[in-house]
Amino acid sequence: MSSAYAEESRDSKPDGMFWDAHIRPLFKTHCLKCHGGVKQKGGLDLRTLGSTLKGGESGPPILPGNPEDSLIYKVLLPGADPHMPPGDEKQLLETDLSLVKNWIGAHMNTKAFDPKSRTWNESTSIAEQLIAPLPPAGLSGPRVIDELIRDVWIKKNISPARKSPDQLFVRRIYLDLIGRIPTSEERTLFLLDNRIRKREVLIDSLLSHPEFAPHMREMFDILLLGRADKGKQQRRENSNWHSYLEAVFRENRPWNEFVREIILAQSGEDNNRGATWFLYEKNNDHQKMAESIAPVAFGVDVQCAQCHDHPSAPEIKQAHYWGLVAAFNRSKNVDTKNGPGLSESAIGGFISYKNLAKVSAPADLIFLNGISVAEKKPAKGEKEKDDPTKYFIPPSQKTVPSQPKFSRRKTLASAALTDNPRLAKAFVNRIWAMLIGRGLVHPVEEMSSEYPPSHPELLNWLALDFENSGYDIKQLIRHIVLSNVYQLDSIPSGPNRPASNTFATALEKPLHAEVLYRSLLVATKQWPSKDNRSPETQSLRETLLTRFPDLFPRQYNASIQQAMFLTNNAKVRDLLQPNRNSSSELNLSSILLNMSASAEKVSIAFDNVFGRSPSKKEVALFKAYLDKRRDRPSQGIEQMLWAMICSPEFLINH
Amino acid sequence: MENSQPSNLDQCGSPEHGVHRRRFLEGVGGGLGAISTASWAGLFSNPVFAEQTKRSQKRCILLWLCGGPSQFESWDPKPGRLTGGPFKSIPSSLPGFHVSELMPKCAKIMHKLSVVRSMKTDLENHNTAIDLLNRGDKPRPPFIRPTLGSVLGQQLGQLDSPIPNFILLDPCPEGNEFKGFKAGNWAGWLGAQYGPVRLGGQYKLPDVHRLSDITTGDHEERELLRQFIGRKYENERKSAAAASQNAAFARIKGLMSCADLFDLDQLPQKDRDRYGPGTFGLHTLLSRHLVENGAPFVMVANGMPWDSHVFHNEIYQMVIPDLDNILFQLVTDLEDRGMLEDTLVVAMGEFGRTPGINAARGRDHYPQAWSLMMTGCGIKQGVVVGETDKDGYEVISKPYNERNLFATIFTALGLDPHKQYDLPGLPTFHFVEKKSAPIHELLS
Repeated sequence: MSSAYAEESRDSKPDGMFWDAHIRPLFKTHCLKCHGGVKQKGGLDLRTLGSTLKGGESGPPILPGNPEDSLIYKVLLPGADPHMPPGDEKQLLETDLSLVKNWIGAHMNTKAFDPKSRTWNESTSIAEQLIAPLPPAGLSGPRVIDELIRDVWIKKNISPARKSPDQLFVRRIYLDLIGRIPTSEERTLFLLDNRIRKREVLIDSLLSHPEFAPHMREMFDILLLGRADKGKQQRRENSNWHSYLEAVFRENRPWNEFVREIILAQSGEDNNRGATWFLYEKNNDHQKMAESIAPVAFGVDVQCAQCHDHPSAPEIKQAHYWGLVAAFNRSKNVDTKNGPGLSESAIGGFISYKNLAKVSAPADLIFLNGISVAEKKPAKGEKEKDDPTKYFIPPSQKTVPSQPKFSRRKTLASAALTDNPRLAKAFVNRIWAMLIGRGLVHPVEEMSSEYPPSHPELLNWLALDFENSGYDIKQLIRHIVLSNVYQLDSIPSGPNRPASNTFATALEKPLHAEVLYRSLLVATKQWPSKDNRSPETQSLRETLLTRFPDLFPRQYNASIQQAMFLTNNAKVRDLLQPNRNSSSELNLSSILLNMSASAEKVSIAFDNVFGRSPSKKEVALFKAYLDKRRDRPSQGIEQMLWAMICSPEFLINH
Repeated sequence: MENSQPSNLDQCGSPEHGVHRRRFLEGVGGGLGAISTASWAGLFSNPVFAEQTKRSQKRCILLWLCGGPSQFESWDPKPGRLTGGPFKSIPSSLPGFHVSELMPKCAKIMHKLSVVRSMKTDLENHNTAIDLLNRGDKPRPPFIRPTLGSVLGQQLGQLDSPIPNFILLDPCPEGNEFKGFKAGNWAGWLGAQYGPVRLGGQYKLPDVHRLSDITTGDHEERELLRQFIGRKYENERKSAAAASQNAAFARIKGLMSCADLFDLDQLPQKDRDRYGPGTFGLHTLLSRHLVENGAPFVMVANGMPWDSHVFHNEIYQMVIPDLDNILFQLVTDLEDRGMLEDTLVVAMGEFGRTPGINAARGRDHYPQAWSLMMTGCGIKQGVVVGETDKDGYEVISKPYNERNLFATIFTALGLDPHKQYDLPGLPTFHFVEKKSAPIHELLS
């Protein structure tokens, strides 16, 4: 296993660093259209450092230390003939040219190049390994995270934000672990706690909080299966998918077991009934099954490898896409007395796929971690015979899905669970992104050479640690949120915000619909309350789901329709008005209405909505407003609360 | 959260197309701030401004016949052939040109319409073909090409205009072939601010009206309070997320000021009767009203069942007469209002339907040879381009593909179709790739 990890960290050696930082993005923008995964004109493939050094039909394009005589630099120069990029393609800037020159001149390992034969000595250059030193054994998880993140700050001379104050931390940790802001009582309890390890105590209590598992279930339901309309949600509920997923998080079941169960999709066992729904919902569409298991098991989106090898990540082949399809294409939805299940046939499913050059190849069981399983194929013209002896459970059994002795799904499950560092890395990266606001690999489901991790050692360490812990989900979360990196302030230390991939300032995470819904109720003191299940609040929730559908978007953008919803929707307004029903507990608006001093009203409102005291300026401004609105005090309070819940400080987890 | 700012598009946007609108805004009592309470529609009914605006602004209405409309029962009938189905053809106002007998109204104004009978594309599954015909090219991951509406909204509109630059009227936000595409990224590399503002099935923009118990004064005051804490947060944290939220709230006032434009009930019953009662017709009427009041691009994404894998004839007997009437009303209205020469109208789907009738008496997907209709801004009237063989299997003259189509649309609207997108970090991409030529027969 260690070799698999080392292999993936290859790009962290010095040659690779300059390549990754400057040259690869440049080539991706300007060159890969013709020299990438889809086409390799002149036999030249510029996707990786290795393939670039190898060159194409015109020989090695690079003479290390000597840019002026390197073909690749020469063709880029203005006036060159031939000239690249050709014709009216977008041209490189002068700064780009000097980067290439600088790269060839000063960032290549010259020892590995034999100038006589003009060839690279593979063993000393490209394959040369430089394994980053791991942090000293015995260091706790959170401290390892801090060390490895701090390394980059030191190298790049970045000063991190200060540690988050308690009032900010408590809001953030509630939002991240149980999906809502803390009530003012919960917050006060924490703020008054004098114990040195009070953050750790709070983290542990939230990890076993009854709202932890439902919050995780909500997010993973969307990540794994996508948002669904009401009908589909109901089917996920009825099929026990929701309760199953929730149990995984509540009972902290090993993540690899979960992945195995959703691939095997065997109905019947009480404990994991519901696991079948992951595949069943795809409704016998084997390509969809392949596309949705790839990010979970291998951390990549394979959709674009359907018709050709991945255009810019050479290790993702078309064969991998079709290998995954083959793993599922003997499967069929069946309804059993134990609920939905997937039968599997012992024969058939020998398909082939065509690439863009219309060359056809058989879809073999080949997976992204390099594991492949050979199958005996029927000879041409031979008709396979389906035979009960090929099954543990033959297809004739109507009540139980059939199970062949050689199961392709089982083959995939074992490939995903053995010698597959990608399984752990994909999950670790997902959880990191959820909690920190950006993946170590970004975008999260693009774990390929195209998007190298910002902190490869940390990703490796977290993944190894996760494996060694037996895929312990809560321990992983605990390590991350206990780190100083997680607990930084969201206000940068200097005049500029450091790049998000340095994690030197807490990143912003806009609240998604479910979290926003609960937090609105908490902020207005209507949580927990019997009314949560009332038709009005449920309909508020439904509308929020349609207006704020994004969960962890690649690029966040607030929409004008979201702003209009918060501005003009009567259900939102209702939250800000005094109780209609005198029997229920007083909501925030009623409480404020019963108070006399304006400054105190402002203070209580800030405490409930933002979890902090107002500044002097804020008191002055809001007090002036309330005083002006004496004619209609209830309106004044409503508008003040509106301004607060519509402000970024409330709408963003920061 | 990505820390990057939204791409700066000024360098890409073509300022001359928007100038008149900006000037117009500045001309009204010190810009937008001063007109908050007035209705946007009201401003346009001021004859002087309205005339100026109408004269110079180019607009586009896309009637998106999602699911793949049949060419046989519309623009390319094959009467008497086995593939032609039971419907006859009728002569039109364009000498020598016949349309399906299901389109008597369009037949009368055929000399004002233009038809391409030789569309030839090569994707036959809904999702990929919808993507192709909305973006004008095949995907090249990881880059996402903006849809036609996003590009035209950006090119023809103004980012800060109160009326949205890209309006999508969509009767069934859930459901149909369109669903997967709709959930996707419309604006691509232009950035989310160029995505559509969508209307659902109620013919109204949701939440666009001020709540009755809140006065405009209340609304402005609370927005000032919000701005104060919102800006403070944005500045302290140099927050891109907060910047985008603050920008969205800043645009609300403008959009609310033209709320009435989105309300179908504000239009005369007589008009609604002419277009209705179906959602497609009513949305088309609304699109006319919106472009009339300054919207540069409106897409009417209908929910009619064009995807007729079963009982094709029965379905088309109902839907084509509807389409026939709607096109007739729209083109006639635009012409009556003197707007046709500045408004491009395109009616098309993602492909046509098979010549052969399947076992379920349906027609299946057919990208090899299909038809579409265009008229208005920059398009010659009464032109028929291309030809299919006598059974409609193949294009036998002047095949055109999605790139030619997009080049035509851009050119007709006065935009350079081969202009390059110039955005940081974006490889070479053009409005239309490979210097593909527009359908020159159509261009006036």
